[in-house]
Amino acid sequence: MSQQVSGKKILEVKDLVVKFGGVTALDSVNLHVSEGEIAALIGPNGAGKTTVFNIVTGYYTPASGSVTVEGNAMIGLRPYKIARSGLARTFQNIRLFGDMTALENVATAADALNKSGLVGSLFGVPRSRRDEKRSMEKAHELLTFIGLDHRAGQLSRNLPYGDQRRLEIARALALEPKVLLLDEPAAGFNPQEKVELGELIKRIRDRGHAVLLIEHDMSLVMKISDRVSVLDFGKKIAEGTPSEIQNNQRVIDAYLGVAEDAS
Amino acid sequence: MPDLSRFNLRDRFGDWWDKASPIQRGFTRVFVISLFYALPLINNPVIDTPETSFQSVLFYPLAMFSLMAVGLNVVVGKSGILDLGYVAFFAIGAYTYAMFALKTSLIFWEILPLAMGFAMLAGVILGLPALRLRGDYLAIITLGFGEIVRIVAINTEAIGGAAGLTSIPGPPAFLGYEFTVMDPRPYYWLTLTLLALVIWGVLRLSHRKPGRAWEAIREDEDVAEFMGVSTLKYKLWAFIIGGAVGGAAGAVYASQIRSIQPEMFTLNLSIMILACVVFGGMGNIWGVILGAVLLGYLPEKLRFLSETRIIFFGLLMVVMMNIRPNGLLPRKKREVVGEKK
Repeated sequence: MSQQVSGKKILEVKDLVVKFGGVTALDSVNLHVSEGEIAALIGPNGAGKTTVFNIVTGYYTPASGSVTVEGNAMIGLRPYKIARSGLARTFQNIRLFGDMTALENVATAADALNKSGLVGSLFGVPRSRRDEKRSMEKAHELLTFIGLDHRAGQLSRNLPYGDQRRLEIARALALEPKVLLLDEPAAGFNPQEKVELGELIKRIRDRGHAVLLIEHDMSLVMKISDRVSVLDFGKKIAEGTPSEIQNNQRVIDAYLGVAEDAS
Repeated sequence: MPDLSRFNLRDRFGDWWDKASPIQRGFTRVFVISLFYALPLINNPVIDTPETSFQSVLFYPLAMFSLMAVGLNVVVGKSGILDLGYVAFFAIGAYTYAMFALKTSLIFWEILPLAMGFAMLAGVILGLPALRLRGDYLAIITLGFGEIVRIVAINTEAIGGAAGLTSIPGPPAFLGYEFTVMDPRPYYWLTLTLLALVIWGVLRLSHRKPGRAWEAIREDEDVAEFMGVSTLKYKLWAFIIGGAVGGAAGAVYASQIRSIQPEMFTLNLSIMILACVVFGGMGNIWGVILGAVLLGYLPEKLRFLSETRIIFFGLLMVVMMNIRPNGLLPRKKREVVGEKK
């Protein structure tokens, strides 16, 4: 049994319905992430996991349903506003700003929380100088946190694969998210790197960010998650602690399929 | 044969610049700037242009193209927005200057900010609806905008119609230099000063929050938005800044040429400035200026080939773009490997 989390709900997704043309991608999905929690979202390919992220971060608008962060409605807000209100994400296929350095990648996200504008930057007013310093210090701090500060000045597209994945996490953390959304962070990792990633995700939780994790690597999910939700064909078919999920017959059927004669 | 496609002046010069002392840097700055101010005073047959006055070539096209290319570079090179109608801002600046100079008693120095303001306003009016689109669609809208401005000018009798505006007054004398029709040098120095100010501003912005936001938008607009960058706001700023620079260039041009017609502001000029940006190296301010200088200078220098010179010019561009497809001085960030002090 993993630890019991009794924090208040930060991210709440209610009755989410998403349709692409005639296809119902998500059908009345309910999810939540509580304070100090590592929640996981699993399901077979095409179940709608990444669609949940795209809705929550404002890229698509759902047919119906609500998304709230600490009670504030997110549906209809532009993605950059949602990012500033506490939801930051990474991407299944790495999407760094390739021609920018590792430091600049993180600083770009850190800038988003600064209020100083373009005219201030042009004339170097004190507030803009302070903000610039803050962004740079924060970027260095986060690069140190993920163990990449020695590569701060390198272009992100020249970094090794594993460093790119972690840099994406650092970039998202620069937005000081209440909930960090990780989309398959362990994809392409070897077993050792997966263990390290698990540790990193726990350290992120300990910094005060709740985590919502999409992941196919079951050993990682089962080891670090407090609660697991399972999607299949756009519907949530199960939710519970890792051990409950591992023994849930519907989940086993969704992953392994049901024999013709058994149904 | 050295590999021309990999040679990078920026790295060579950048290493030297990083190690240079503040005195060396200051000295280099003063030297380079003075050299450019002294150019019209140098009478050198090697760089001189046949059949046209080198001094007037220095003003137009060289300095003018450079100024406009640096402005367009903020839009195309920094933010990755393809703008095919940049001439519109140049035209708006020129017409604003001409109308105020003819109809009011305002002098050049008072109208210049107005011309920039009108061009910035045009940037907002065009940008607010257009910047919600991307890529090809946005490029087509900007193309249309450039044509619309020209056609409106042709059909509006109040601003001269197809015949344009004539007898536009020039700027008043400044520090003893008369701005006359005969002497293009003061206009060159004026444009060079504006160019220096614009370079200063653009470099400052590039190394700070707006520069990072623009680069992020160019790299991946969706991700920039997910990372909290208000992409519409920064794309609009790029348009406004590009517009202001184009407007300033237009005002100076109108004050020198003294008469303007709508047919001066065709798509050809937009394409020419875009070619300067692409040829020189999108996103790198120094590359863009080099591109503008070369593309402005070569047709004048090749005048001895008379009618066939444009063919040679085109051939040269094709060859250059094959050797260096990212431009003469491409945008390339210098990487710092290891701890940065």
